[in-house]
Amino acid sequence: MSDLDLAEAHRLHAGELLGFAVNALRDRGAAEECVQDTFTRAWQARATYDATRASLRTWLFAIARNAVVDHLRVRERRQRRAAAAAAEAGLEARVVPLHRAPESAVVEDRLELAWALAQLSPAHRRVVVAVRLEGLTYDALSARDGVPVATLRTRMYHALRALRALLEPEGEQ
Amino acid sequence: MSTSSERRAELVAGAVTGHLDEAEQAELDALVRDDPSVALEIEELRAVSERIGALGAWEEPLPSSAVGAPRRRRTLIAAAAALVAGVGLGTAGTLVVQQTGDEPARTATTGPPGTLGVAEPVRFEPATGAPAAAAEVRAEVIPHTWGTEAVLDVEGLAVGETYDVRFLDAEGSPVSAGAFLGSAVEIHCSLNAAVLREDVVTLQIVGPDGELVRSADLPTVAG
Repeated sequence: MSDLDLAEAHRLHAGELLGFAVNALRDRGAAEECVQDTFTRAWQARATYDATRASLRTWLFAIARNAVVDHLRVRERRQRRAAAAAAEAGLEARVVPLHRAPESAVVEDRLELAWALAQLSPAHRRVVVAVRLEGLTYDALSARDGVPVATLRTRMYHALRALRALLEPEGEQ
Repeated sequence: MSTSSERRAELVAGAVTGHLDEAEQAELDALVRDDPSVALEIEELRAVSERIGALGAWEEPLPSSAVGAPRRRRTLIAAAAALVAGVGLGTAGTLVVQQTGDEPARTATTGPPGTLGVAEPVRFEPATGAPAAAAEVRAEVIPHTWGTEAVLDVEGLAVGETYDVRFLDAEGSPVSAGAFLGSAVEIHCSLNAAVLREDVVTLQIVGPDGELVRSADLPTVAG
């Protein structure tokens, strides 16, 4: 094995990878399986890891993204098979689509947004979530967390810049 | 009058999310007149901000929740940790297994100081000693049954220098949580001390020459 310490990587990064998977899949059990799968894949591909090209964290997030996409594909295929079986049995009217393939624009967008947001530092993500998703003002968040408004705004600024870089298509960075 | 980069960032963030008051808007307008690139940046960051809104909600799993599911699943993940650690588990691998074994499945995300698994934001006292005062240090502590975890985000400390992280108990005795190296990039690290949260009153980061880089008094845990 290279000098990659995946046990230590698991301790440091499993939580944030789970944050990505949970929010991309909205399924806790499936998300935990994807995190487990991520570390298994990382172990299997450890010889290809090049610390000069990407940090270990970045590499793990890339693997996790593939693991989640693969999970979505399997889930979608399983559902299509179930729908086909139900149709054969004359039950098509009762089949309700639950999951869409990862190529679906909505699923793809949620996956990408979750992937980017999960890579922010906890402090940066906390202000984005509070202000953009929970609808708090900076004043309200300041009262809740005891952090000055100026600091919260600065964190928001750096968080948005980081998100912009993460969400930019490759080649435009 | 030039605007500091921090003030510029505050104004841009406030504009992006629509939280500027009248005076701040006037300040921003003046800034944009001086530097039109500010308007472009606001436009770009606003697009990012609006895109994030499509997520609708965000669930923040507990830091150890990847190994915090019911025992059967925890055992599987501990086995995966053993796999990635190789045949002989090192210290970190052993820790993973211990984490999975001694804590019940938890779902709490909030609670008073001392609640197992719940991150407590740390409020550091203003730093005075240069150059560490210029560094940005954020921290949370997380109580566990096996000790207390310090989660740090650090930017701006001397690259390559060693910084010790320690807790102090009520008598002022230090308990080490480990150490990290200053880096040119932002550090996100997690360190653990073998002392229970209710037994610690202070979190400190100490520099290479023994200087106090940051110190924070932690809230008392209700008995």
